Amino acid sequence: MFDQQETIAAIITAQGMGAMGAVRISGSEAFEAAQFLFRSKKGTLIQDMPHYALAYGWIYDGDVLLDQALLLKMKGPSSFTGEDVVELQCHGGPLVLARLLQALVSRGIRMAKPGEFSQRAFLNGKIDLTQAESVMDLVSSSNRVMAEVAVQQLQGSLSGKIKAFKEKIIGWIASIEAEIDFPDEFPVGLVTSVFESEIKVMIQQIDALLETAAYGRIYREGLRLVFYGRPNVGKSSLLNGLLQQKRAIVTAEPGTTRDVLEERMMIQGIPILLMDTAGVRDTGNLAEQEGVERARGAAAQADLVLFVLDLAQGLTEEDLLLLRDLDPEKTLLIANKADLVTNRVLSFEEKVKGFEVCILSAMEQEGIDALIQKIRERFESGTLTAGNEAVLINHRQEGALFQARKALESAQEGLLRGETTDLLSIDLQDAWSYLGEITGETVKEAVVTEIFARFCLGK
Amino acid sequence: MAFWAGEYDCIVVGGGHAGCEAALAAARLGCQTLLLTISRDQIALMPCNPSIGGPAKGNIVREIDALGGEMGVNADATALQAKLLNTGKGPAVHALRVQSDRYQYQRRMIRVLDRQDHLLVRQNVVVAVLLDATGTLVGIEAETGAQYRSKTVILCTGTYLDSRIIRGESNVPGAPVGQMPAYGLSDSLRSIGFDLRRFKTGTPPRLHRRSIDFSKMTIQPGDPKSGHFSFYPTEETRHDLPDIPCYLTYTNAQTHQIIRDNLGRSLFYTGELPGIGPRYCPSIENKVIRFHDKDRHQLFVEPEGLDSQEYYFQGFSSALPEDVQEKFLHTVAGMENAEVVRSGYAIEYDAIDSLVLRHTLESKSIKGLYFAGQVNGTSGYEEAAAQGLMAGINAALAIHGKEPFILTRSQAYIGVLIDDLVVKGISEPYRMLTSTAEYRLLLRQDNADLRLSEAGYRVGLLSEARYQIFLQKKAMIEEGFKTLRETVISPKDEILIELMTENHSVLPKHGLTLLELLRRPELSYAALKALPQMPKYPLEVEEQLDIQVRYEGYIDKQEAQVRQFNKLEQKSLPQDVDFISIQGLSMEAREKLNLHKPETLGHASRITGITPADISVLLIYLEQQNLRSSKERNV
Repeated sequence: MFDQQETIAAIITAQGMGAMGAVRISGSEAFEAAQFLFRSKKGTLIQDMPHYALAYGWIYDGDVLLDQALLLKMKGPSSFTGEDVVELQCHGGPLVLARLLQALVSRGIRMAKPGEFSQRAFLNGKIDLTQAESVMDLVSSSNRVMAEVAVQQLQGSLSGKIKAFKEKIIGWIASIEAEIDFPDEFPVGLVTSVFESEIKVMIQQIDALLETAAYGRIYREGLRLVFYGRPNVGKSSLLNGLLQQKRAIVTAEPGTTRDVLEERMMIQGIPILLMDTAGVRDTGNLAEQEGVERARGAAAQADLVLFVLDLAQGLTEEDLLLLRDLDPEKTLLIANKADLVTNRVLSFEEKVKGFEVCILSAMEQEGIDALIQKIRERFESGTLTAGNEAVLINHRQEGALFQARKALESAQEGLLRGETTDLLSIDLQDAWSYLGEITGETVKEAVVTEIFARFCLGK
Repeated sequence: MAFWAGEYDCIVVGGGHAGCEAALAAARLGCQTLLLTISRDQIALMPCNPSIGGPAKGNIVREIDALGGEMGVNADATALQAKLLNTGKGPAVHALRVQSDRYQYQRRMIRVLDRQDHLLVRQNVVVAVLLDATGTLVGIEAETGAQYRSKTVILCTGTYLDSRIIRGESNVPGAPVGQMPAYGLSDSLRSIGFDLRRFKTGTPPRLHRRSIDFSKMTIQPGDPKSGHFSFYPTEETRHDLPDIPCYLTYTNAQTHQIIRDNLGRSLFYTGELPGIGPRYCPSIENKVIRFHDKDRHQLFVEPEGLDSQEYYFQGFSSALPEDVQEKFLHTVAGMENAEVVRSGYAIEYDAIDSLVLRHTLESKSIKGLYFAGQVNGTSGYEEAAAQGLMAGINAALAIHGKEPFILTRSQAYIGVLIDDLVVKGISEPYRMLTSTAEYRLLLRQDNADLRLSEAGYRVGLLSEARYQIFLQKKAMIEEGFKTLRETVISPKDEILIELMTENHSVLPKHGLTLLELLRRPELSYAALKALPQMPKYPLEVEEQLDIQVRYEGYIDKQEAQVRQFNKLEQKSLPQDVDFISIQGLSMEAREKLNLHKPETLGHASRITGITPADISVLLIYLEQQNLRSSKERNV
């Protein structure tokens, strides 16, 4: 468990970009520590500043002037973390910010761990679980697109959706309960058939949200691109071509890449996880066999498979065999080594009908740009719209929503069987409490365990 | 002049529904008990509607009965008609309600009290709780100067603490049916550290039978097959009911207009009185204002007793002046010439903040002082009786030096009720609702004996004779299950074929057990009784078999929830923790936790204002404490 007594500080703006940089200090010694570095233009002391006040001034490390700065003072508990907080905004680039942090650390302030501000905010009851998890994802997100989703969610687009579900369900429950507790007031009796269609609609809405779970992962972990194909068709060279750096081992001997190599990159704002796999062929070599298995697994879980074949060899029987397991929707067929052939017309077009083909040469860095463009098109042609939709961003949320859906389904089945309302209400309450888990409104041990798993707690 | 008038184990103050159960429980558990009441003639008075039971309330009555309390027997013995409500909504919410002969109800109850060993019912007004210099409970003092010593005192003061009756512009000291308020005791409670608050409730006018035109109303007869509250049949509880009907009529636009025109004459609408009234039985003026788009409200006309000419007018509670009440009363169909024998009124009284109580209903600050009933902020006879019973039992157990008797939320409605009172606290008169119970399917009215009779017997309240009746029923249920499990019916059985066709059930290819047949939604125990192999039992046993088999899936689901609930419930919080010092808790949580001193994490989670984040912090804190102590052990 982290120590709440300690005052912590960290740079809270993205590294190396933007005209402004900011450092946040949180904890009981925040004001005192900031006072050592900051001299306000008017000579006001931080402790005398009112809550939520801004001061203009300069930051000094000892006698050395580091930068001009704006200081924002927030008194706990009315701050993001619920503790005393100072935020220093300055012009400085990474170097100035680093020196500022160093100065703080030399005054006994500890560097905050990733997400530690949010931990404190959560534990001080300042934000709910969804928000806390979003902050965590914000912290771990290293690109802009993802940050947008995380921010959206922080503002409650997911919370809003879940809340709407919950309100609707509570409405159903309430109408059932009212009739049970006050039977004299409802001589006609409740018509439960209206629930049937409404529950059906909600299940559909939940399904739509559940589908976004995959996109949430894409934002968080990147679009999974897997290089797949027979040995020695040039998968690793292609990976290197994309990365424009020598990371994968590229040799002429078949079967060199025995494991799955992962590399992250950005393609015009889209986070990508590139995975290079072992060439797939029957082999007696045990280690290689293992690599082949992993390759198959990776291809099955890929968002997009880049199936590479050797244009010089043409489409082999083995290629065809591998292609049979792949979904054309999720596959790009790459005919590599175009530099080795004179005639670039595909002789086997009939046999790969349905697959989009991209002819290139990884060795000559030829056609790579076109490939990138195709990947981008694939990404954008999906139902995915960056940042505009509520997205489930983690497995816990997905699981709880799935459970809620199951409870609704059970309610629906009960309705069809003609079960009585007292039973119906049990399923509806179940559904509600699963949704409550997403927004952190019901406590179950599982949630707490999850919190323990996510946050750095326990000695 | 004050004088010492006697010494008791337990003194019960107030002879309403809480007081009666408290006194009977304490005396039956062998405590020398004194019940002091403002009027011996108004013991067990029903100052509002003459009925017992209904959703959730009926379950409470059966729970009281299963534990060995009196209310169920008394209600059965004096019922005018009975109705099983919610029959179409599933077994979990079936609810028995009886119209009572309220005069007979009172007469029978005072008879039972007066014949009870170790119990004396005496008329006197209690004006003070006596403590010694160290703040220890000594006893009570009455207005005559009589001082009684007692090990325990149970305050069941109902709506009588400094009560005032409000009708139109008139706001005067008063109490139900012309009695006097309990004066003095409120001041005494304040002086020993209790914060009191004003709650209000109200009652409708009573009307003379001969002046009501029942022909313009819809008759509401009872159902003779509705069953009984008491699980233990006696001549008294199993008699044919006279089945005196109730009647249904409605307000109309004219009624509403007169009410609206005269709101200025209600102290509650002129803003002179704030009184917090119950949402659950609002006055007719509140209904007209809050639900202004409704063009009519239903009203029930209910008999007050076999020998009485008075009719109670349910739904017509009002604090408007008497002349206005009569004016809008006469607009109602059938009430054109109604003669009022008592007009409606609102009553305002002192209640304590129930958060100062333990689950035993004992005050956290003064050992031996218990509170039960409306003084704790509840409304309803059944809710009061349940608290009286539990306070009486726990006072007696404390006197005998035994462990307290506490029912949990998963055991009984009574458990839910008391937990809500002492953990969540209430801000308006509290009525028990089935929706407040998380495990409603388990807390059915039909199985209250199966849930609680064993406990009632162990505590010592349920008599040996009644316990034997319970054991017999239990044995029959077990035997019934065995027969159902073990009897296989051939698909060629002619009676089965006929039965299946009749009920549109698909004929099985192989032999099925009776249990498997009973699981089919389209079949029921009653239907299957056409088979000679089906075991025949008393109705309540067959009902158990039917419900337990047919709702097995849902029952299992709720039982799983209970196990989940018990996990937090069993994580006890050390009682010496200073919550203020626990880092990570919100300030509000620290203060609330220090105030409430919850005994378990489950209690803590139900305190208003305690967020899940706070509970995680407490979990973390408990983890740390465990780690620390296990480290210390290892050193």
